[in-house]
Amino acid sequence: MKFVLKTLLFLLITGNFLLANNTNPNYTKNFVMGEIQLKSVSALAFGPQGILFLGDPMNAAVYALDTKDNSPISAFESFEVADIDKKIASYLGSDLEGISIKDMAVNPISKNVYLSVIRMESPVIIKVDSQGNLSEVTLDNVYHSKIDLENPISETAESRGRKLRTWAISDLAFSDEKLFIAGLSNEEFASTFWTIPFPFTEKQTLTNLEIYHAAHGKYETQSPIKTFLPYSFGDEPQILASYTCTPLVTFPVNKLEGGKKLMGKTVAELGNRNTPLDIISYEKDGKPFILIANSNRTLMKIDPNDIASFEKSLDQKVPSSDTDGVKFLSIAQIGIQQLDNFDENNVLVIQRSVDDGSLNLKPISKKRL
Amino acid sequence: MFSKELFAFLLMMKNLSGFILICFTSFQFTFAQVAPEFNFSFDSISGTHKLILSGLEKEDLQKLKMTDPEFSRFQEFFPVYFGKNAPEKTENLPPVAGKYVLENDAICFTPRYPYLLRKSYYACFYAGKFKNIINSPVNDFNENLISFVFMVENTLDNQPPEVTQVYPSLDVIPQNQLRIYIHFSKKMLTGHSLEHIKLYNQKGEPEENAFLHLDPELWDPSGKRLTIWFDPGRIKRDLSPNLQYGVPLRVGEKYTLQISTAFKDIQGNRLHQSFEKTFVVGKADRSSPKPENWEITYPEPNSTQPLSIFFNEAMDQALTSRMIEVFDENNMVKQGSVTIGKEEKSWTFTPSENWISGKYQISINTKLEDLAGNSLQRLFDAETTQFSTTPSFKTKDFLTLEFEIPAF
Repeated sequence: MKFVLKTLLFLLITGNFLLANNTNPNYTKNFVMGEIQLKSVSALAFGPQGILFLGDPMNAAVYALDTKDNSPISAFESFEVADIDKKIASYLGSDLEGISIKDMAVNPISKNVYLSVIRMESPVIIKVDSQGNLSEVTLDNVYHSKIDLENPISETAESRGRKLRTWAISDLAFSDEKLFIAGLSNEEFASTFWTIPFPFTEKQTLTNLEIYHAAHGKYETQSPIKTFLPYSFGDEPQILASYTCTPLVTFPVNKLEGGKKLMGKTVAELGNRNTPLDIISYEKDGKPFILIANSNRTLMKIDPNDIASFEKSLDQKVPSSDTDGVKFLSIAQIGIQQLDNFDENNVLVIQRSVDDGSLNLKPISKKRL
Repeated sequence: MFSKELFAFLLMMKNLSGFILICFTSFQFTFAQVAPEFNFSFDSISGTHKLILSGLEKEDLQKLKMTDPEFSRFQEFFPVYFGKNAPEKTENLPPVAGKYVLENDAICFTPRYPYLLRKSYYACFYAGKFKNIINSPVNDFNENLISFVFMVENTLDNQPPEVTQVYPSLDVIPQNQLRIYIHFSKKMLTGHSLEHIKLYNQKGEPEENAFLHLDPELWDPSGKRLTIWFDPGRIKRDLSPNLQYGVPLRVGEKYTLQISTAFKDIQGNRLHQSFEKTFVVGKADRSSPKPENWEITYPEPNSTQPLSIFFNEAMDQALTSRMIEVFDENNMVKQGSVTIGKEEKSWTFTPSENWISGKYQISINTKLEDLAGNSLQRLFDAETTQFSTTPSFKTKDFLTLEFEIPAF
């Protein structure tokens, strides 16, 4: 879904060079050839060298797929696919009710768009090329690696209820040789956050994230993360996360330690009955910004310097209105369900049209953001 | 372009796999000519729903093999579309993905994913495009389009799904009830669930936004159990949605949970009948389960009598089923079955083998929650000042209760 902008720009500049350069990390060293047997699919995120991470909630696993789709396109074309949902449904031999688009990730090298889709009960990865053509990414014989998400409960203790328990993977992001995963149990009300070095090893770190909420830090809570972005505010790598209950919170990456409870800093309330759906970073006129797509609000643009300089957690004061904390600029774009960086000039969205209700894949120029 | 439908007929075929194919076949052609010899048929005996286009010249098929050995262009002259309309009428939506093979002098198409039941599909053969691909001359006749509309019915698995259980099962739930588990008899279609689940207040008005919209939805791996949450932002005191919209459930009021027949299983069968569960809302539960108040009944030695815990309050059904285990003195899990008692107020473990004398431990995961999401470790909605009186087990992952089965 997102790929840290710094890395993205690096790849853009050095894309051709990367392919031939042996000194780059060998991210696929422990990959194997074979079938990825997805049981389900939710979040997607691109890593380096065209590697696509796939979240499979029902298998409680994340796969790293070598898409081999790592040829930079010579000319950046901005494409638009009207009625993307109808086209995917038609391609998969279904009506709209039979499909559900879960996530979107743009390959930062090739600019091809990858969508995770559930068709009836089948998880499907769809690729949309710059001509707007759809194709399925077949997974029956691919170069990949897998990591099982470690459960916070021991195997023996869980054996009885294992059949019914899943980890809904709500978001994934790759940054600084690490894969970050936000998970949501279908049973316990917990916020579990995995930090996993990539290439995958046995090592993974689980942290329970907590936030204070309400006035004067009176209550503290766990809550599931909906979407997040790894981002360095100042020099400190942080996770900027949003919750199903709306606040925008930061956590320092270097405090994500196994088995520990970590309190986040609430930096903004983004409005009631509103769930942030995607967060990305982008640059405009050489200046970085953070962009948030919301379920019931417009796009929101935030200056990362405002987050970096936000001293106090919001729990220290009484909320004065529906929104609070770090200031944001509303961008007059609504109905955006998926958001990712496309190229240096555009972001790519899946947006519900207010005019005719159609769902369209389209670029939005960063100049307009 | 002049187009005329020559004839149409209904064809029904039943086969061993329990699928019935309903075909509406029509031939359309641009100029009045001799009726084409091409023909569509359907092989669903194998269960693969192979669509067969026959009547092509052997010589032409040989040419096709030479010109398109990868079968990459078959979709150009033999596409299959979702719906009963020709692609010209559907804004040129892409054809259905699938696999083409040449078999027994015919071209066969198998869809990548099974056809949806009772939905129409439209197959067509463009003879002119076919001739173009094999570099044969196209005459008027070759401009013809043959179309074939069909749908698939499953006569073996058309039983409608049912709601088999809803937890919590009791009729009075706390005001800060956190989640509901809905069990279905069959694997259900996911992704649109909350469109079919409504909560009505005692005036019969729908309570909008009582439940949290989650994507992905929380299904178990079998696809038969859905977890839904009352909006935690409204349950948690003083959180902004709580202040603005209030709690999702009001004390003393009666509510009805309704699951509509629009909820479908993955075969497309609707729910047998709508499901309703009515409950009354009691006061909020703001305390963690207290193991010191639990009553435990112990089994007799050399028996398979159950070991039971009575909680004195209703617990979360799913977590209670999973989070309590019995270990013997060798620290091995004692095998057996667990049942959750009436109104989820008790846990009963029946061993598969006799209890032998020795020391045992009941291990309880301290993440075990009551109906309001209060675990043994912590309150769902905790006041930070409450943590000064933390009992020691709250900081541990497991609470261990020891007991001994005496010698027989």
